[in-house]
Amino acid sequence: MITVEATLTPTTLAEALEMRAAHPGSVPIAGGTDLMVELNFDRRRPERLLDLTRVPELAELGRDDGAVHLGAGVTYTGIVERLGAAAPALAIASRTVGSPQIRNRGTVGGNLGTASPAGDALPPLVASGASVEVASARGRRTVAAADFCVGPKRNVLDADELIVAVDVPAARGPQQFAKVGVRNAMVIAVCSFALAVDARSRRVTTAIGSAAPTVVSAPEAEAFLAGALDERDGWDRPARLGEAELARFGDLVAAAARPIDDVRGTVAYRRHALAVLARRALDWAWTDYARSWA
Amino acid sequence: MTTTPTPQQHLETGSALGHSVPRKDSAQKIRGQVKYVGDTEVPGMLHGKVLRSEIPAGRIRSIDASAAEAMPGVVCVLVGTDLLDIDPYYGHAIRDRPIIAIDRVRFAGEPVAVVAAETEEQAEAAVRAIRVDYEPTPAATDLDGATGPGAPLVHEEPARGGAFHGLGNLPERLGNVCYRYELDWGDLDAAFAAADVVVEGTFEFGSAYQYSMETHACIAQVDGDEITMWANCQHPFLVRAEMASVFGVPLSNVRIIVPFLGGGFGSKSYTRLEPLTIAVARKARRPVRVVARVDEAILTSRQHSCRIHLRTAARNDGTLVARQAVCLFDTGAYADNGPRVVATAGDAAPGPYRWEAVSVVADCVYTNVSPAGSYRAFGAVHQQWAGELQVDEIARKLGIDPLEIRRRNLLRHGEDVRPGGKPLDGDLIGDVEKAAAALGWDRPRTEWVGRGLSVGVLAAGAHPVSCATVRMEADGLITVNCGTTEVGQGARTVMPQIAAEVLGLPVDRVRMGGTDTRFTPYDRSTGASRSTTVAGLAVQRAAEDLRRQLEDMAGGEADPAEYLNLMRGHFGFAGGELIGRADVHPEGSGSYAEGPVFWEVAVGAAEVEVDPDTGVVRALRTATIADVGRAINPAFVERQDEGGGIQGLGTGLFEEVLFDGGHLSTETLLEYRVPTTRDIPREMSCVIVENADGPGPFGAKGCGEGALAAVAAALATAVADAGVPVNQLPLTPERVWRAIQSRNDKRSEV
Ligand SMILES: Cc1cc2nc3c(=O)[nH]c(=O)nc-3n(C[C@H](O)[C@H](O)[C@H](O)COP(=O)(O)OP(=O)(O)OC[C@H]3O[C@@H](n4cnc5c(N)ncnc54)[C@H](O)[C@@H]3O)c2cc1C
Repeated sequence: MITVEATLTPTTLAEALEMRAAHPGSVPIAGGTDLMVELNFDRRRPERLLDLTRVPELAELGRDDGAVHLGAGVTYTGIVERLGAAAPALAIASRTVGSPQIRNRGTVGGNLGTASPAGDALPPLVASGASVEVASARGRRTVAAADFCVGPKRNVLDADELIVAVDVPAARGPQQFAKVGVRNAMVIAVCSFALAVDARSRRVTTAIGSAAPTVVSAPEAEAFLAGALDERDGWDRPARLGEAELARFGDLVAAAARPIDDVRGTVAYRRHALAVLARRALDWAWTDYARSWA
Repeated sequence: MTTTPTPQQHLETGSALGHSVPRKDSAQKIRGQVKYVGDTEVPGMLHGKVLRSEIPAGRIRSIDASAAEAMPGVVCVLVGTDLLDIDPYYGHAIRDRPIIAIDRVRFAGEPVAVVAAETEEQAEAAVRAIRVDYEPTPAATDLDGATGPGAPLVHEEPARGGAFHGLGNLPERLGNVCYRYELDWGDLDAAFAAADVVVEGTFEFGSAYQYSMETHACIAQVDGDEITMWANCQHPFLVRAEMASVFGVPLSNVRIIVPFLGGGFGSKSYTRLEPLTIAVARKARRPVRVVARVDEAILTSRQHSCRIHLRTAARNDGTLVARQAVCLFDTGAYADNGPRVVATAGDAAPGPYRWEAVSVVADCVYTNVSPAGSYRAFGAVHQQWAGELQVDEIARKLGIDPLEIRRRNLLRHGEDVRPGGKPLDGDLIGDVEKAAAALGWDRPRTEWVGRGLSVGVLAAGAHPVSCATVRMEADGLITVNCGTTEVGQGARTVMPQIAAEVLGLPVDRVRMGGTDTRFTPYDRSTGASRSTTVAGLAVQRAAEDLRRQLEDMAGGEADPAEYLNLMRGHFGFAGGELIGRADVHPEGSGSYAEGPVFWEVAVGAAEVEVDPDTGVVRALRTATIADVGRAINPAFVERQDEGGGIQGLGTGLFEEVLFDGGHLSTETLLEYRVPTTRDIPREMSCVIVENADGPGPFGAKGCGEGALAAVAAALATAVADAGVPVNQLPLTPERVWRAIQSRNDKRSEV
């Protein structure tokens, strides 16, 4: 049983990292929207909680050098309100998380901490090439968002480390995020897809959620699209993509997924729905690029 | 939409009837001042926590609770062997369920032990310290597993009838089938042979969870042979009788106090946590409170899932001639209300059409999953969508408009719904026309937008027994005493409206409190849309009895302004009180076959948009018909249809209790999906129909359940109208997508 007295309440990052090292049996808690469910169901019985909500460094949200520095403790509501232009895919995804109550509490750090392949923040982070800042009393390191999760509910964090922030390159082109769920809100994705168009480096990058042990990108779909755009000078003279190209892109995205059958959906449906999401996301984003970015 | 009279109007006209009097309890509820059972504390009260079985079927080799008993704050641990001094089985239909598991477990989640401790946390910690040694046995975790050859038997002992099944002699059990309902008329084979069109299909209906915001809760206190409970039960008088019989005490020694309920929808009908709470309180010799978590509430009651094999025959001119239904209902490990659900479903299976021949066989099947009981509109919601899909399939084949085929075949007022039962007491053709008009049936439609209608009736009213008193005190204020539970439907406002109308008093002079079975007159149950109709009739008659007493005092008409003077004259001082009393009891034999009290109308229409690529269905608009005879409080009628309609949306599109190998896999409200505000159609209209044709007060009849069945079915017919008939509810994106795929495959084969 966890009591208030047993909860660690650091007020600086340095203190948090020391406490983390000194109490290996402690479990960090940010918004608690994943962790409290685990505790209520008695799936975890930590000795102590390490409450991160009073650590100002984790609540930072700033911009430098064309990147957004997003503290691990920033909530989805904060992202929706402040990052619509700089990180559009993440903002769209944040808008689809849970309900207003969950968005007011839930954080990106918590989404990464839980490391579920269905975490809605993760595909936008991977698609937009974000990196995760991790720290311990021993020092700091940076891990690409794409490498941060290593399996369902498993990430690269060492026992004494905390997630400090995510650095998201500011959008240099349209981005999209789409998910399929069984109802319109408060729903864990059956599958999801994020896409970022980078008008400067002339690349389109992708990420698939809820359809593999971790969030994965679809390199063959990206390569196919790069080729198709090169061939007809698409970046300089953009036009709406044809049905055949969109369909091929969707199929390649679906082929990159490694979904499983579970209570939310089957392999066949997940692959199919991913192809649809990818096709639509690309169509929307590319139409947007043609209209306003080229 | 109806125009709702303003709340003030009744004060001006002096009549409360037909006016949307505001809820008497809303201020209290909005301010959070209402105490539910979970907020109630009794001096010396302990907290109870339940240890639940981890396996779906097996024998209990041993339970070691010694470590738990030694833990801080723990007063006792109840196990099956503590119950050997009583006959520890309950079940109002079939007495098949032990208070907690004895020797055997029959579902994952079945209570195996209960800890009573000083705090909830101590009780929870002790539950985790109990060691149970199980010997797993083969489990029948779904209908296939329970009905095939060599299926493991969920119950091996012979069946014992419970006290309130009301369904005649229960038959011998056939394998895992604990009850069978049959309904036949006409020559089925001849009718099918002579028909021009026959449609046939198998329909799968998923189980929903009633999801009331308040979960099950009970406090029990046992003093010698006196049992007192604070419980959130919908049917306290039935629970009282069952507990008196299980614990072997006189009826009046069991006292149940029922405060407000935070919703029920059938989940709190009949007996739930009461027996195990009494049993642990008896052992602890102190009061104990048990409050279920959401996952425990799902395991305590859910809706039946079912499989229906349905055939319907028609003539080329669109005349429906015959229907055959063979249905299997998954009732889980204990019969619970399954037999009644199955009988009601059997009655609903034909649908309210003029058939030459009908054959229905509906089986209630035991399986090794959590028990299923009542959920709003049971029986009708199970059958209506399947039957209505086939009516539309025939209409499509014959090129007849869905509204027209219903006009031609629906029963008219006074025609038999089933032989020997109460004839149809509503106007279904008028109702479905109103629903179609409210939806804009004839407006042009676009691709992937579908519109659907659905019509059904459900046997409502349950057993018509209610007693009531209406008491006038020396200050002229009136109290209605009636055992209907305020479950959110507005009973504590409507009953005062009825009494106020009879007595010619403003409704703010009349009030009604909660039930205390020691003092409150008997009411059978709060369910089956019966309260306003049956209990309301008892209240009307009791108020009339009171008025007669006043008239006797006046020697003629009694002017409401003179009531106090009349009382003072009678008692000779400003004291005394007058009590009007009355009851409602069955007229005729009161048998189920003669019923129901009334046929509740379930008529609705829906418009949906289907995303052909993902299979996502969006409900755009719904219309429901509240054919209530007389709307005593029109706003409440509308709220009933809205609530039922939204639950119908959940049943139709998202809500499903799923098990994996007998284990509940939708144990949170994230995985078990009730509709959210973002899912609600942008337009939900409710048309109130008042033909004064009900058996209740002022011609009223009940409502609130029909909308659930009607909306779920109308969504299914609307999705079919958009081009994708799907034989499975809920219509999840994946199922709709698969139906589109198989349709496309069929087309490309042609
Ligand atoms: C009703 C409901 C609806 C939901 N809907 C969605 C949804 O639509 N989409 C979705 O993606 N998720 C959803 N979730 C899950 C959850 O809200 C998200 O995963 C959220 O991002 C978790 O953030 P949190 O701050 O609440 O994490 P917490 O619960 O506080 O923590 C989660 C995990 O991360 C660890 N952690 C947190 N912060 C750090 C840190 N700085 N360093 C190291 N470890 C850390 C914790 O130890 C814990 O293991 C829902 C949850 C609920 C209850």
